[in-house]
Amino acid sequence: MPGPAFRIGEDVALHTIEREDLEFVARLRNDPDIRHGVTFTRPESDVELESWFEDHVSATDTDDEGAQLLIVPRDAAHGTDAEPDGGSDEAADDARPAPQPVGYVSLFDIERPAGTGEIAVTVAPEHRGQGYATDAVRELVAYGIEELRLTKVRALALVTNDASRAVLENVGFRVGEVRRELKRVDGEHVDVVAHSLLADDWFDRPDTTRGLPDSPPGATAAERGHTNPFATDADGTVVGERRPDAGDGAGADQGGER
Amino acid sequence: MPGPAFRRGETVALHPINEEDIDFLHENRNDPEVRWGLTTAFPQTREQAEKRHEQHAEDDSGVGLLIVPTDADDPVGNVVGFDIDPAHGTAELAAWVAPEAQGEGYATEGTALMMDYLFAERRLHTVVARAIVQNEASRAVLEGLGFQQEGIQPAEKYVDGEHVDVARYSMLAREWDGAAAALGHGGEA
Repeated sequence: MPGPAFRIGEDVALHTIEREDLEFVARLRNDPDIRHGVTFTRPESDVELESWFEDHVSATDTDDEGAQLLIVPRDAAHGTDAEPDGGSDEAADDARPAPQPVGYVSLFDIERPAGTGEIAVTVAPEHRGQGYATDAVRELVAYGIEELRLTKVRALALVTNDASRAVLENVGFRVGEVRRELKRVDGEHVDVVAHSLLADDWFDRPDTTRGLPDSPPGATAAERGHTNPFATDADGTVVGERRPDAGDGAGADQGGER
Repeated sequence: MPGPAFRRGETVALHPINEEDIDFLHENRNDPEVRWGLTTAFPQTREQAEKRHEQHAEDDSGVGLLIVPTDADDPVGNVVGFDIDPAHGTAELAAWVAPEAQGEGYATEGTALMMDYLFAERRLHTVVARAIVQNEASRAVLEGLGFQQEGIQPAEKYVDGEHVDVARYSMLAREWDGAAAALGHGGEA
C-alpha cells in the first residue's frame, strides 16, 4: 500500500513508495508489454528491486536528489468512490478501499549546478487512457521546477511510442533532437526523441503553474513589500526589486494550448 | 609513465592509465581551461583522482585511455568511452588535450582511435558525443571525423555564469570506415 501523498494533482496524487509496493513495481519493470517502452532489458528479481529501493527510493545518506513516487488516482486515495478497481478484494474488510497505485514516476539524473533532471512515467496497461500519466508528469515537473529549482526537465521517448510522446507534449515539453538508433527494442535499433521543458516556459504557462494550494497572501517576499537592499542603479541609489517578468528570458513564444 | 600501447595510430597511440599518470589527470581535470569544456564544476582532490582510477579498473561500462604522441613518452590528453551499454549497443565519448598540446590534431586522432575500438572491438552500434556550443575546437574535431549533429540541447549546462546549450552528435557503426579513412579525407585540425 502506497505511503502518504507527497504531491497532489487534479486527478492523481503522487505517493511515496513503500516496501510493500515493490511487488507492484516489479510487474511494471518486468512485464514485456511495459518494459519495452522504457527500454529495460534486464530481468529484475526481488534482490534487484530491493537494492533499487535501498539505493534510489529509500536512501537516507545520499546526495541523489531524485524522486520515485507512485501514481494513485485521487478518488481511490480518498476513498470517496467506493468501487473496487479490477475486482480487488483486499479492501473488503474496510469501508474505504485502500489506495491503489496505477503506475509510478521517476525524477532522476539531477545535475547541478546546471539544474537539469530527467523524468520517466509508467502506467499499467489496464489503467491507460485516463489521463493519469499526464497529470502525474505535470505534478512531477512542478516538483522539479518549483521545489528543486530545476532549470530544465528532460524526458525521452521511443519514436514509436505515440502515447508517451503525446503525454509529454500535452504537459508542454518541447520536442528536441532525434537520437539516432539509440535503443535496441525487440530486435531493432530504434530512434529516441528527446524532449525538454524549460522553467522559463513552465512559469509562462499559467494553466500549469500551481504552487502550494491556497498559499496565504503575503507568502512571498515581494508580497510583503520586501525589496533587495543590495540592488542599486548607476548612481548608487537603491532601485528596489526588479519586476519578475523583466528578464530577457527566452521562451515567451506560443505557450501551447493543448 | 603510461602503460604499453593499446591502439596505435599515425601520430598518437592510446595507452592504459597507470598510477604514475594520475598526476597528469589530476592537474588537467582541475585546470579551468580543460574543465570549461568538460563542464565539471567541482574540484577534484588527488585522493579522489586515485579512487576514480581504482573504480574505473573494475568498471566495464567505461574505458579511459591516455593519448600519447608516438614520438614521446608522456601523455598529452585523455579519451574516454563511457556509459557503455552492450544491450543497446551504445556509448558516449569524450576527449580532452592539455592546453599546451592543443592544435596538433591529437584530439582528432585520439578520438578516431577510440571510435575504432568501440566499433571494431566492443561491437557497439551507436556512439554519441556532446560539446557546449561555444566549444568550437571540440565541435570541429567531431564534425571533421564525420559525426552527424543530432540537435542542440537548450540550457543543458551552466558555465561561466550562464546556462549554455549543448550540441549533440552521433555516429553509427555503418557510417564509420575506420580511423585511417576518417583522418585521410577529414584532414588534421
